Amino acid sequence: MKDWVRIAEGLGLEIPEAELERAASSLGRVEALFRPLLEKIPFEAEPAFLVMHEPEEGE
Amino acid sequence: MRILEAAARLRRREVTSVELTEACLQRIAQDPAKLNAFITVSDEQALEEARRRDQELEQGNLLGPLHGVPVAVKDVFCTAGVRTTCGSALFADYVPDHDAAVVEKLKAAGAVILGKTNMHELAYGITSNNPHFGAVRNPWDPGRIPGGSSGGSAAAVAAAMAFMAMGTDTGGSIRIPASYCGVVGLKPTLGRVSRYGVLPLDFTLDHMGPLARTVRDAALTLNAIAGYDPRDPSSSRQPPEDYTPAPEVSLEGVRVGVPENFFFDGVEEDVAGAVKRAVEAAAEAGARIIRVRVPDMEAINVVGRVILFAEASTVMERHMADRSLIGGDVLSLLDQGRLIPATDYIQAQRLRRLMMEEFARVWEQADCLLTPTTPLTAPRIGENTVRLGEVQEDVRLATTRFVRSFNVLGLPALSLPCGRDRRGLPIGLQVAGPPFHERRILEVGAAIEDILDASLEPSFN
Repeated sequence: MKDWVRIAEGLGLEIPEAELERAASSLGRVEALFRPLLEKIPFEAEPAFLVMHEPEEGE
Repeated sequence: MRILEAAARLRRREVTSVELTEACLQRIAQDPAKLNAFITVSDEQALEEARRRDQELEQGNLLGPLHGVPVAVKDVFCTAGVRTTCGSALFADYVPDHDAAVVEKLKAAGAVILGKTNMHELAYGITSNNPHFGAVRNPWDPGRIPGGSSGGSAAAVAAAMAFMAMGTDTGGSIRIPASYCGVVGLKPTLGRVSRYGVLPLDFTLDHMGPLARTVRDAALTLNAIAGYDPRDPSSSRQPPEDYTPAPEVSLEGVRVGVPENFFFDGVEEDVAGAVKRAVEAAAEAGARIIRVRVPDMEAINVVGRVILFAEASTVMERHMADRSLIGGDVLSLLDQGRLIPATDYIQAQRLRRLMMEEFARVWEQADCLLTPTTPLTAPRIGENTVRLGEVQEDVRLATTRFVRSFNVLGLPALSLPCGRDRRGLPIGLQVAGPPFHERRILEVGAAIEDILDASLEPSFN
């Protein structure tokens, strides 16, 4: 499990303690569902966003 | 009165745009149930536009299908010369010098813009309990939320303050308020409607669409706003079509999929019953009902949350110096996004592509899916958790459970009323389809709407 409080400190984020605890608690639940999914990603998988150049008009 | 009827009566000169606009403005001003659906009402500007539309009609100059029809837009669409707050203290004094593409298109189609609707702060939430402009209330029960983030748009349409109101949808923000307020909400395919001139919550999940009284009114609006826009990098060159369903719709030969997993788990009994009746209505209209197994929707939802956390916090990063200007619930979500590592965000986008490929196989079995829009009807204002079956759930997560995935997948999805629960609150049916199959899902929605006749009006209307 990630230590979100130390990550916030490391990133220099100035989040009040109580609010950081609230965020960390929610993120912990997301993390528990998200982390196992990463094992399913094949090496060659591309992300969904992609920069595409369109051909010029008339090409 | 619906848009189709109003537009026809305007063309026959049985009613004027000024009369319709004055009626809407009067309802907004009276606001008997204290719905607080608007942040800014442009009454003088709207009446001036209405007078122009009437003059044009007298001269035989019909601008388009919405000629003279009073509509509203969520306060996230830029409007030249009219402040655009995004429901936030950060933008309380922001007056754009340009119209959003959607506003340009609505005006080009002849619509009269009444004003800007209230919403969840920064479009980041589902209650529309706005700390800066006041809570929007549900027309069916003012003690309940209208849903969000486009809560003001849904409330305004339900209470006949506008014939249509535009919303935005990043994780259900059009369909949720449509479900809770008993109106129709359409989230088109990603890229179908331009995002230009809309204050973003996100880069890859935001969609723009109408909230209206009927499926045909939503279709008519989509006709006016769809199309390629080079100013929006995600805009699609897929040509738009006429989305309006015929007056008599047959679903003969249409394969309507009903998920056998996920979408009926942890659902209120009345909601499940109403959706079942809607499925029977689709069959009555000629559809072939097919049970389908959908991929891991919980996984798609969590991927969507990681993407939204990271992208929304990127959008808002420069505005977070003064935390006192942002409400607590939104601030917590923005804090979470700042803690997501870049690698996790990109992994989520890789998973998203895989999930889109996997989900595309559903369309080999069915032409569309029918599901509940929300597993519950509108919760009370201030209610943070709700009991569904044996489980006590966070209201936000329960409310977005069936809708968020279609933002991740970029697929078109419609919500329409399909009944009321035992307390008299509206229940929403979701119709989702393959990319750019808006016409099909609107036809299915219209056929069900015709049979159920569930165009529901709050009692004070």
